[in-house]
Amino acid sequence: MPNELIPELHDVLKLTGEHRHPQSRNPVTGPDTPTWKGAFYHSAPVDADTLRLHLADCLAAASSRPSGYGVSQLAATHKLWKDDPLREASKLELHEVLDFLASDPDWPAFADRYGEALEERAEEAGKGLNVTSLRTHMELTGKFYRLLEGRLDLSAVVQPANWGDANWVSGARETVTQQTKLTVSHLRVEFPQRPVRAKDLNVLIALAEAVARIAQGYPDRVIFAAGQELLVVSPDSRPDAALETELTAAGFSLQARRVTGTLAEWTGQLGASRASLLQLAEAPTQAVHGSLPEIIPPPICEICQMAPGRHPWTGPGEEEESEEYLCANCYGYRQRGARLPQLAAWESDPTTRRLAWFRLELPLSDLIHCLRGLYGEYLAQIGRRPAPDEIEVRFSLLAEFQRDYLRLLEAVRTGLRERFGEDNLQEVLPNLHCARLEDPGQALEVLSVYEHQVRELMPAFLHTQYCPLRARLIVADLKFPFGEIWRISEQATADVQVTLVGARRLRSTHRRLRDVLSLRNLRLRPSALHNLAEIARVSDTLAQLRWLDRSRPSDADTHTYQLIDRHLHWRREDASGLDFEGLVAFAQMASAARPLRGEP
Amino acid sequence: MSAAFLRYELRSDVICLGERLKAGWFRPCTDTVPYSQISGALRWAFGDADLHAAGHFCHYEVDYLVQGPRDRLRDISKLPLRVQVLRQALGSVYVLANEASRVLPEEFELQMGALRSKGLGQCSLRRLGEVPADVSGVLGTLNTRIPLARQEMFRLREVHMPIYGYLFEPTSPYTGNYVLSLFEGTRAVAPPFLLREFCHEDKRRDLRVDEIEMLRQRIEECDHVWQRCTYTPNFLDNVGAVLADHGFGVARTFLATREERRESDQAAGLKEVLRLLETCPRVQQNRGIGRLIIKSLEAMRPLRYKQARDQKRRAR
Repeated sequence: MPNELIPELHDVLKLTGEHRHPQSRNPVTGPDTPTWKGAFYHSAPVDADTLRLHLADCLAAASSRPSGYGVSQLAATHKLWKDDPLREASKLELHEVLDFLASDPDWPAFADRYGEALEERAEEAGKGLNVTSLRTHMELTGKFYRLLEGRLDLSAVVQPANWGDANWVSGARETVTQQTKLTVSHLRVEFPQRPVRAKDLNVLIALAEAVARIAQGYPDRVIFAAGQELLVVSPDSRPDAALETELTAAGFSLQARRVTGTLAEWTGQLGASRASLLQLAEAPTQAVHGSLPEIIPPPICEICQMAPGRHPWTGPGEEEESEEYLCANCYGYRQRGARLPQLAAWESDPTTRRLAWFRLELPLSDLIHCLRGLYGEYLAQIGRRPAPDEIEVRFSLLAEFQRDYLRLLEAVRTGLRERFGEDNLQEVLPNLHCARLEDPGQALEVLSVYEHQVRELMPAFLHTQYCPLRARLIVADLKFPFGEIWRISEQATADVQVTLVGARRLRSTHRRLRDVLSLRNLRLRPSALHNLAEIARVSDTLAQLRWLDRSRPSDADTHTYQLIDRHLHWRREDASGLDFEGLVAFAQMASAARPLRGEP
Repeated sequence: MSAAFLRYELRSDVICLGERLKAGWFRPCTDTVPYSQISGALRWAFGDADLHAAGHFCHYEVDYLVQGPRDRLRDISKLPLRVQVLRQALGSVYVLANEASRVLPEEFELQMGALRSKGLGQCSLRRLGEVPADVSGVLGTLNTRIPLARQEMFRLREVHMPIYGYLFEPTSPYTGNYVLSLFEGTRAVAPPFLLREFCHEDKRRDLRVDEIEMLRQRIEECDHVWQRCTYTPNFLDNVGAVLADHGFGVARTFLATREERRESDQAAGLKEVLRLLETCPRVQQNRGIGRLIIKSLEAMRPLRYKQARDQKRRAR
């Protein structure tokens, strides 16, 4: 039994819909445990621990506004990226929760038992504020509570402690929040390597491991972690140097954005200026590197080109002339051996010709802007017209999104595995997959799986102008070096971009992805698409002329072009998000498509 | 000297710049013109060590060549080498204006980059103008690679977000070191010509590259092609087929035989089109392109002639 304050459980009474705190007329009596004390007194602190809990609660709240927008309806969690209608959350019986609390449970035990209810119940029940679940809020409060441990300097409060005096508590809170600083850093972890061999892809695995190590090693500091992106909180006016050094020492560099503010600013205390995640999204980017020598005498590492190549590598069975000089990091990655078995097997299989690399990116800055846009839409939908600076994206909303983003990644992986089969799919990272293709047309199946899963889990992204997801699909031959694949995916600018290496690019938006994919369902003449693609190989201008030429209405090719035209409303400006080059790329893929197994 | 930099246009049919060989079989290529590459090539060509330059490409097509380097000593072929190259590359190079740069002519050629012995990297440079000495810096994204030690020389100030890498700097004809450098993507205050956001003039020059697009514009602008008639698909198909199969002379003869008939207006217009097509080297090399253009002629009809044609049709 813990016999200590479990900060996560501070809002446990919300599950019952009862607001029977000390200030209420009929306060409830609970077990005599530190956790109950925290749950009961966190909104009216009676000692340093409950004050810390109160501040952690404020930081983890979905809104800095006073509760409820004046609405008392007990609304369930409304996820901004879903289209679910608003509904009421179910309640638990008060005595049941109190009985369980009497056993002084820890947080995992409580979450195990009431996980479903915690996710259904919104942290703030009022319509318009119900955008994060109670579970996310509780977890986040726990993180902030532990983060603030030893950071609240109550000695600065001059008067002797008088926890019974509400005015004194309010003054102490104000003093403490104005003196305690919090730095929030958005870190993007980058690697300098340009991997060519399958073994060199271990750098990606190392990157994922490093991010996971940071998330596990600093669980209370990392608020958000997805792919290469981290949101880290430091209870100081400076960022956490130890955390950043751990990443740079492993050979990675960081792109960092930071905002420092007082607790008063982060909690949106009345009268204080605001520090917000929006400021973070718009803050200038700084680069953080490990130590870089001014001069490197040859040889330089052939993979990363950022350190001396002191370690000669001649792999087993490799000829002497392919000897490479590597730095310690790159040598270490290669020594780990091939950790991607399918890729290694395909390399020795002469029937494998083409691969499709699918990478899903979630830039944190775009996510913040996007959630803000969706929040504004939601408030407008329920008839509220807040001023732009009132639409807040706070830590809890990001954490809530992360939970569903991980579900999306898992669903995409399962979908791809079902569609392509275990033997034809290699997961490199949760957001990076490689599928073996029999023809380029199968690449569209990857997008189809992705679109289906987004429609299931984050449908709002398919009909809003705000979408933070960036899908990159690159079709290349087996021997095409991965370093180039990565570069192409990094340089892609569209929401959804398909690149046929050495040929064309298809750029689209999530809003129009279904229209583009459904082109496959039209009875298009493959030779018409093939002809268009072949003409475009000579000149885009020629292909456009052929496309626009409607002087032979009975011509079969023209009929196909008209069909596409009508389907995409091509003539309407930017209606499909698909430019002419994209159309030709589609033609190149679709004209070569053959059905996959399991399809008629 | 009133100029700070001399501005040159750089053209190359096929070029591979920059990166080192990877895993013994792949050589990637950068789309900038790094300081080390262009300065080294200029020094080699003009024999003066005080030449300093950097630049970038604004238009190119990425392509891949496969080479099979031969080991003559052992009479074997090594692993095939895949080389990433830029084709039809057009870019700009900025040479620091100093005593050494006075020897540079208005136009010259030099070789630069990898696989020069295979014919890659032949570059033509043509002077376009000068960048005045009082050019001021603005915040933007660097579009080239410059060693940190040359930062001042290129007036790179206030580096906000550096992207580091290493460039080779020779210390003798046979030795050298890698020196810490700022790579493309660095956010810094620099003269606009070094920044990605300010290459408008380069982008305008891109238009000159697509010959077919230029040809289309010339046909569209030629009133003789459009003012007298509308073209029937059959007639266009026939003329296109004759051109593709037999060439310009026979196509003209074919049109001459039609001048006495109902199609005389169409024949006159198409003679004008043939004249324009003949001026385009790509059409001369591949008459199939000419056929496609003729077949799609009606799709090029300018709006004002389209309206006139539609009015005529309605009147009928």
